[in-house]
Amino acid sequence: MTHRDRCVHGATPDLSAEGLSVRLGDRTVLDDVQVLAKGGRVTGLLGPNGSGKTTLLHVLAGLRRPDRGTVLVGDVAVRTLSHRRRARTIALVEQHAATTTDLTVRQVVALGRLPHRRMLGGPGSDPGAGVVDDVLGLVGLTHLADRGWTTLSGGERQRAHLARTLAQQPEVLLLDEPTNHLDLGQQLRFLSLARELGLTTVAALHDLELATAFCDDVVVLDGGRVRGQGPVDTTLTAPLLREVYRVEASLDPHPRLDRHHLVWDGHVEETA
Amino acid sequence: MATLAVLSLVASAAVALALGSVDVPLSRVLAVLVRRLGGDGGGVTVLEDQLVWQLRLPRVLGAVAVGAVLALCGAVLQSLTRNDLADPFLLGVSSGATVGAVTVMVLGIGVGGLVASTAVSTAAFAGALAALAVVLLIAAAGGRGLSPHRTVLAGVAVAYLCSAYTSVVVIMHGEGDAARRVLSWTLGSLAGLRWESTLVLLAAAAVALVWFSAYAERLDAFTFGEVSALSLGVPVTATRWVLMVATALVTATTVAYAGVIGFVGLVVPHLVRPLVGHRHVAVLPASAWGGAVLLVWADTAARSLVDRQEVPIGALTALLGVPVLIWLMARRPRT
Repeated sequence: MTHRDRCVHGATPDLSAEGLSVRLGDRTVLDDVQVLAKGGRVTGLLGPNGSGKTTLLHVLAGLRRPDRGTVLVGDVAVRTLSHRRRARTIALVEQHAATTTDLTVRQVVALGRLPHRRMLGGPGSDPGAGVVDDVLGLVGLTHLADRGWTTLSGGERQRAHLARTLAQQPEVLLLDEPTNHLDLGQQLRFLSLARELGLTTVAALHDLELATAFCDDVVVLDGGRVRGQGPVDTTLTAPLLREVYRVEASLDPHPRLDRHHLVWDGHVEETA
Repeated sequence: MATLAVLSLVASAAVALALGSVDVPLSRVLAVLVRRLGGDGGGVTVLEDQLVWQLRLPRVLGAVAVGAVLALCGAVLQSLTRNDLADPFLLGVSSGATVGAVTVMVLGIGVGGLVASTAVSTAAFAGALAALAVVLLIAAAGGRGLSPHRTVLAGVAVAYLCSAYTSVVVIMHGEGDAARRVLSWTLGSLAGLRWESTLVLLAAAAVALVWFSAYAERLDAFTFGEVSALSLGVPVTATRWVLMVATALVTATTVAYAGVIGFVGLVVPHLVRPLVGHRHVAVLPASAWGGAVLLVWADTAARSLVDRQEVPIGALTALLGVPVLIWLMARRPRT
């Protein structure tokens, strides 16, 4: 049995949302958003800065109540789940999850077991405590397990965060720009790892090239509305990229690899 | 480790019982305790019994309780607000209590039949609760739970308001040594502790230790902030309300009997983390221990350093706390 088989098991349900609206004061952050992330596939959540990606992820994660609309995991409404049950179903790797607290890597990863424990039961009430070692192995951090958090590099921290969410043994994995501030090698390593898990995954990404390489499907947000949704190659069309990102770009067949890649000519000149 | 902690606390308390304006040999301290607990105390004098059992023991146990409560609350609030500078008085408890105490001490309002010291304690407790209510009202007004940022700001605002009231009352209405009495109250003192008040304080400390320890793992979940705590299944808003109100209540209890003793709650959690790690299952009991030992020694110094006069204990904890804080800041890795 591999680390992966021990850590990731069970169902990979669809994650879907319908009619999601979120208002913040008089600003509409999400406007009638409909999303389908198919079970066991990686769905990229794309869009320019301020398009509502993080808010949408928080709503999908059940951390924030939308003003309208519902989120379903399989056919279960997320809002009907208890806090702990929700945390065993959906896990989120946040965008800026920093701390000055110097827990060890193992202690950080063990936080992911919290929703599996009885509130007053302590560590003894968790039958799956061995999961922590398995997920540490899975993300390649076993050798750093007893190191202090502040001594880790950015890439190691991000993998530790992934391990913590995997310790929650979720069915759905949400990633909020997980590769920000990582060098290219660490970006590829992180996304390959996340992809190999085979969970229903939604990843907010800035980098369109990474999105074309690692995502099966994409959802493109702009101004809180969905502008396009579907398989990555057929969704990221030149007109859509021009309209949403204001760039002249297209997905062309990769010269060497069996996939598409992004080719851009330049940004669109704004007419006053 | 736990044994060592208990032993060091018991030893500190024993030495504290022996030291003071009149030193009592440790063997006589032991004899008094043995006799009081039903054993054969062999020739204990009335004076020795008076000094050790009636005066010093309530004070020493009071120091244990107050120190433990303040340090526990500091540790809890530092985690909840993710603010290294959070202390038990974050929610306006100390400034509110001062308003209550000053109202009684200077204006003589509300004494109505109560013994003066009881009136001050009661007024201080009431003032602390009033300030807490105002802080929570302001902090929760935005509707986004109790955001740490808003809570800290509300606490600061209410503290300024209270201190304005205190200054005006003391300057405009203070007679004789009113300013001196108010200042000495705000620096805290365990001199007024008798068995009745000490038992209340010990109960508060026991409740705080047990209650907060039950939240140890949920406090760990706040390590990476509220979104991360929420995604780990912690009901963030409810947890914040319960713990913030609980810390304020037990802190207000200590302030009512012992005044405002600063720096214990701020510094002790920072001191114990390098020793026991950062998980709250260890930080909380270690903070309780550290606060207790620190305050036992600070109070012993307060009543023994200067002949016939008490040094304000809040000044001693600050004298000790400031260098420690500076040392901590200097060795802390920049992140």
